[in-house]
Order: sequence, then structure tokens, then C-alpha cells
Amino acid sequence: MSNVLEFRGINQSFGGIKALSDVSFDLAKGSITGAIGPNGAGKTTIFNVITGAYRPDSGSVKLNGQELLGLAPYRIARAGISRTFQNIRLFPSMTVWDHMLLSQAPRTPMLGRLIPARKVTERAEEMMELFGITGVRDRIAVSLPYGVQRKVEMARAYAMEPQLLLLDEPVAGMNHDEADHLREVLLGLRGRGLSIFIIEHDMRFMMALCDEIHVMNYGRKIAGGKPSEIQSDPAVIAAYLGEDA
Amino acid sequence: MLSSYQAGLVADGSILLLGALSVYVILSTGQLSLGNAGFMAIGAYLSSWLTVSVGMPLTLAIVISAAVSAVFGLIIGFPALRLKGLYLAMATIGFGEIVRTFFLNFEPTGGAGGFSGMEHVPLWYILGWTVFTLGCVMVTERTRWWLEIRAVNDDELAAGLVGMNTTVTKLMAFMTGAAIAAVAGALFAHQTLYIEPASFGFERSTEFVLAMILGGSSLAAGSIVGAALLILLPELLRDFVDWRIAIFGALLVAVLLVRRQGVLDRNLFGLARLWRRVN
Repeated sequence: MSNVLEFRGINQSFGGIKALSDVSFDLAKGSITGAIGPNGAGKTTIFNVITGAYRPDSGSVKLNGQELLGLAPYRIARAGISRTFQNIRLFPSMTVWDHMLLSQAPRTPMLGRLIPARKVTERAEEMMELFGITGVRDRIAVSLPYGVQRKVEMARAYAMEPQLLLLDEPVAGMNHDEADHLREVLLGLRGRGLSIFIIEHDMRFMMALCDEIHVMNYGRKIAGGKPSEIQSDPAVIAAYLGEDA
Repeated sequence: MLSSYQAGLVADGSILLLGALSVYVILSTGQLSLGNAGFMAIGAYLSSWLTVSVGMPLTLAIVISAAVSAVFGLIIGFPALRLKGLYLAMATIGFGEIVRTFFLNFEPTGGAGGFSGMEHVPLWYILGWTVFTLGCVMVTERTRWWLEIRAVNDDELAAGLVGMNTTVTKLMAFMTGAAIAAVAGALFAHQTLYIEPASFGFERSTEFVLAMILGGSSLAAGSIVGAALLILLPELLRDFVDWRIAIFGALLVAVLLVRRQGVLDRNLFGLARLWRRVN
């Protein structure tokens, strides 16, 4: 199986503090990969490096063989990577529907953006249907409950037709039923060939979802493998329960 | 028929509306320009020189002036990308003053003595440009282009991450605003028939901003209300003679206290839509 993303030898420091130390991993095409680890372990930093918000000191990030380091964030987005945020970032003045249309705009030629083509509105409808937000179509997105806002953010990200979707703590603020529904949705997206990279603390959710999990601690990758392997890895148990456990 | 006094008010209102729109387009991307009188001056002087000294038809002169002003908008737009909020506002004031001082010292267009010799334009011509420009902005508000503009204003970082080139969007807004202000300047010059650098000072820029904020800064239609209020209120308050400017100021403060978003806002239109759906 080929890799959608190759993240190799990344070092990222902020004024003497090493946020990432020689972190490497691959994401297999059409798989769901997870990143877990305590707060401050460097998980979100990985997202920020992939999406071009940070320029790492060294290393390489390749999407389907194309080097991403040095590209502006909007070019990386257009290349096929979209993301959600731990602290949701929706556009405060816009309805759910506006979000669905906007996120498809950059892939449309200039004049095509004047009036949304049928293809665009159909995809917008489909996205809302998929994430179960059709009923709130005309509401201002930031006025909705937290869990619903997360779905809007995911729908916006997926509407961009990415090859790789990055999700930062998508089930935070959701109840068990919503989380279960989201898992079904994500498995369905994987079935359509999408690759997903996900940060999450909810272990129950992650174990039942991911094909592979990487474990971070203090800016280093301390383990990586199938969920069952991770669960019994001594380094992981130590990081989560303390060295004495 | 309108008396010449009333026609003058309508013309002033139209030009003010164009000025307010020029600020509105730029502000929609989150950039506050307090120097649009500078673009207005470029439009006024260039179009007047083209019609008087070159003998060019006015419409062509306006189009050329708007294009030249847009180039200046691009030049100002680049440093503006690195400035935010108050700092950007101060930089644009600086630009306005540079333009004013340039014309003050530039003898070929009369320097401090001003420039004249233009032919008077009929009111319908001014109204034509105003309706055309307003129409363009209001139609654009309904397109996805405008969603991109709003996205830049809402959250520039998130806009970039959904694949938008926010630099291009902000520069385009500055160029468009500069072009609209130049149209306002050209019409002003051919209505008053005499222009001098003092006509394009800082007060002019603030008047544009005021009209737009008063009417509502979240939609183009707000500028119509704002420009109308700004022109009509001082006239309606004539009975108060010396106190009218003070009362006018108090009314402004009152409106901004009660409705910070201006007289009109996007929700007001949203309510109208909701009302139609319910009934």
C-alpha cells in the first residue's frame, strides 16, 4: 500500500524548547491513523507543521511525493489537505450553508465563483446530509451547540475534497451517541478512499476507529502500531499512567 | 422638478455614497482605510486634467482615472498587508496627506490655487454612476466572491486553511475601493467645477467612514442610509442655527450607542426573509 503522507525527521523548536524531536511516520493511503499522547506532547504541532502554519527546523513532509514544506498554507490546502481545530474556528458571520459553499470556492475558477454551480450546491447538500446538519442549514454556525459546530467544521473540511483530512479532537463536546455516529461517518469516508489523521484523547473512540496509532510524549514519538499493540506497549502505559505503573 | 438646491443635495449625497462604498469594500476584508480622500483626489485631478487639458470625453476620463487610482490602491495595499487595525488606519491617513500635499505643490494642476475649467455634468449622469457602482457592489455581495471577502474579515488564518489566497483578496479589495473613490472624485470635480487640495483632506476621509458606519458596515445598502442621513440631518436641523452641528454630533453618538452595527445590518434583511417564509 502506498503512502498519502510521509512525515520524516521533523525537528521543530520554539526559542530553545523542542516541540518535536526527530518525529517520523507515514500515513497509508485510505487508512485512519491516530495520534495520542498527554497534553503538550506535540500532537497539534504536527498538524501545524503539515498545514504550513509552522516552518520546522529540519525534515520533510510529502503529500503523494510532493514536498509541502515551504508552501503557503492555502497552497497546501489546495494540494489536498484540510483540517479542523481543537478550539473550533468557524467564520462568525456565516451560516452553515455559507461554510459549505465557501470551502469549495478555491477549487472553482474565478468566474465560476460568481454563482454556485449545481455541482457545488449538490455537494454542499451532500456534506450537510453526511454530517447530519441539514436541519441547521440557515443558522449562524457559531450560534450552534459545540458538538454541532464540530460537525460543521468537519463538513467544511471534507467539502474541500481533500485527500487527507486532519481532525483535532473531533469528539470533544460530543456525547457517546454522537461519538458513535461520528465513528460510523468516518469509517464511511475511509470507504470512499479518504485518508484520515486524527488527534483524540477518547481512547474508547480511537481503539475502535484507527488502523494505526502513533503515541507522542514530550515531542517524541514513543510508539506506533496497531491499536492492540499500542495498548500493551510498556512505554505507552508508562507515559499514560506514570513511570511507576 | 428638483430645485437647484435640492439637486445639489442629491449630487452631494451620491458622491458621499460612492465615498462610503469605497471604504465599505475595503473594510469588508477587515482593513480600515482613513485615506480614501487621497484616492478621491487622484480621481478628481486626473479626470479634470484629462477633460480640460487633453479634451477627453468625461466617461473615458473617469474610467482611466479609476484604473490609475486602482494601481495606487495596489501600491498602498501591499504595505497594508503587514499592518492591522489602528496601525493600518494611521498609515492610510499618511497616504491621504501625501496625496493632498502633492497636489498642493504640483503647479501643473494649479497647486494651492486649485484647478478649474471643467464642464458641469447633469444630475442624471452622477446618479447613473452611483446606481451602477452601488448595483455592482450589491450584486457582488450575493456571490461567492463576497463569502471569500467575509471569510478574510472573520478569520484570516482559517480562510487560508480552506484554500483561499487571502493576499489576493485583500489587494483586490483595496484596488476596488481606490477605483470607486476615484469615480467619486471625478464626479465631484465636474459638479463643483473647481477643485483644490483642501477639498480632499482628512475630514473628507472621515466623512466617508462615518456615513458607512452610521448606515451599517455589514452591507452596501447601509451606505445609502448613512449618506442620506449625513446630508439631510444638517439641513433638517437648520432651525437650531448655531447649535445644529452639536445636535448632529449628539445624534451620531446616540445612534452608535443604540445600534453599534449601524442603522441597517445583515440580520435586518435576514428578518425580512424569515418574515416572508413564515407568512
